[in-house]
Amino acid sequence: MRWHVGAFVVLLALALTETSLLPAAIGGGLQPGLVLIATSVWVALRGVEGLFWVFVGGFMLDLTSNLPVGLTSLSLLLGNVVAGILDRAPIPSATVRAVTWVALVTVVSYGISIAGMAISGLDVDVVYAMTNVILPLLVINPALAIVAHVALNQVNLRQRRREAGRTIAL
Amino acid sequence: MLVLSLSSQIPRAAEGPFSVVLTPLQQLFSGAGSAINDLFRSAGELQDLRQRVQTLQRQVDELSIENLRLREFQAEVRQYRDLLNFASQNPIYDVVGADVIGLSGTCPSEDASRLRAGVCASVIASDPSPFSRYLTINVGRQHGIRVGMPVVGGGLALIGRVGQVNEASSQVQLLIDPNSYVNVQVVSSRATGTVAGQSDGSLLLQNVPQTDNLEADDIIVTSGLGGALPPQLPVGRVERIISTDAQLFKEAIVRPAVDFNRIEIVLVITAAPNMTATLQAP
Repeated sequence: MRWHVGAFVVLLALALTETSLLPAAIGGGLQPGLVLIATSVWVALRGVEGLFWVFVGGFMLDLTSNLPVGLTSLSLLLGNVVAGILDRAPIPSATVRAVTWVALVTVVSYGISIAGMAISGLDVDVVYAMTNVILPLLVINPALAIVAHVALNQVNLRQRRREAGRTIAL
Repeated sequence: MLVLSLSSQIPRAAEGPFSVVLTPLQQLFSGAGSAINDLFRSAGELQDLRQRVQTLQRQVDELSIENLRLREFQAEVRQYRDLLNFASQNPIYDVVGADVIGLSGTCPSEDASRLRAGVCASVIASDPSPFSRYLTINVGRQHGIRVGMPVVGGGLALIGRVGQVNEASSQVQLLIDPNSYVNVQVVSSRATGTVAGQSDGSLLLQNVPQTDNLEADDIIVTSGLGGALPPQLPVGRVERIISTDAQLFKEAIVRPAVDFNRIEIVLVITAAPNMTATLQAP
């Protein structure tokens, strides 16, 4: 329970950093998808179980977004599902796998966002979005995924040890 | 005498060839000596220089602060002048306190923020989606905010409209949002048109009839057509005309009157005499 509360607080802090702190600090322009990176790396480490946190993180962003409610969480979920389906290549390094995972989620989730906006009747310049948003984020997000993987891998290992201890106790 | 005479002659005779070798060496050593001398002198003067640098740095700091204060006063005076001009040209709007926003950098107290014509708000977040340009402000339904109300920044320049209202916060659709369209007027020629937001964060002036005059640096303000927005709110200046004579309407890139990346405090206009459609969605 305590772990879930802690994870929720961390995710909330990331969402607030992404939507409030970073825009104020760097003043507009492209910002990394911190929630996307953290939740995607967690799914890459934990599998299907991590999808719960993807939904929670996406919903937090939905609350601050003017896009149709649920679009952000849905796009993040689908992005991770697609990344999971495509995760068949034998990548020896866990960090490289996490980076690839985040890159895939970036492309798929933003692609779904664009499609969702178009379906909702909102104007979106697809060429501009591809060249000026998705492509730069394909560099920024995976680069930050390396840092996220290092940190979350430690959390994952600790979590695994705790789970193993609980299993033995049972 | 002979010996003396010879001894005085030998060095003089040898002086020529020696000097060729010695002069550069002398220069070298002299230079080195000077350098050493300078070094020691510099070491001696270092303390003195350090004190002078500190004194000068203090003076620079004081002058910088004074300069900053003067610039702030200048900006304040400019804003007061703009407001006075705006108020005298548009007596139907009461926007008291708009200048205070720019000066304080934060909203005034609750009582003061409840202005007769507007509500002051701080920007607390921006949309996480990179495809839409919205800001979240810290006033909402409980402050009397409704969808469609115009939002202005420093100098009463229009920055957008309220797009979504929550209980204690609202989301403002910026002018540069790709789905933002505002009816505008060119101040000099009175030509009307529409300003649309672009994905790259610029503004596009469109639907200006070819017969109307449009030039670079023309000031663009809201026209008030349709009643969704009050007229005469500054939008920007024409940066360059991009249409050709063959097109049905003129088009131009507009430089916004505000820097959308540095918006911190805004004013929501809650009521204006000829603003009839404040409750419509943008």
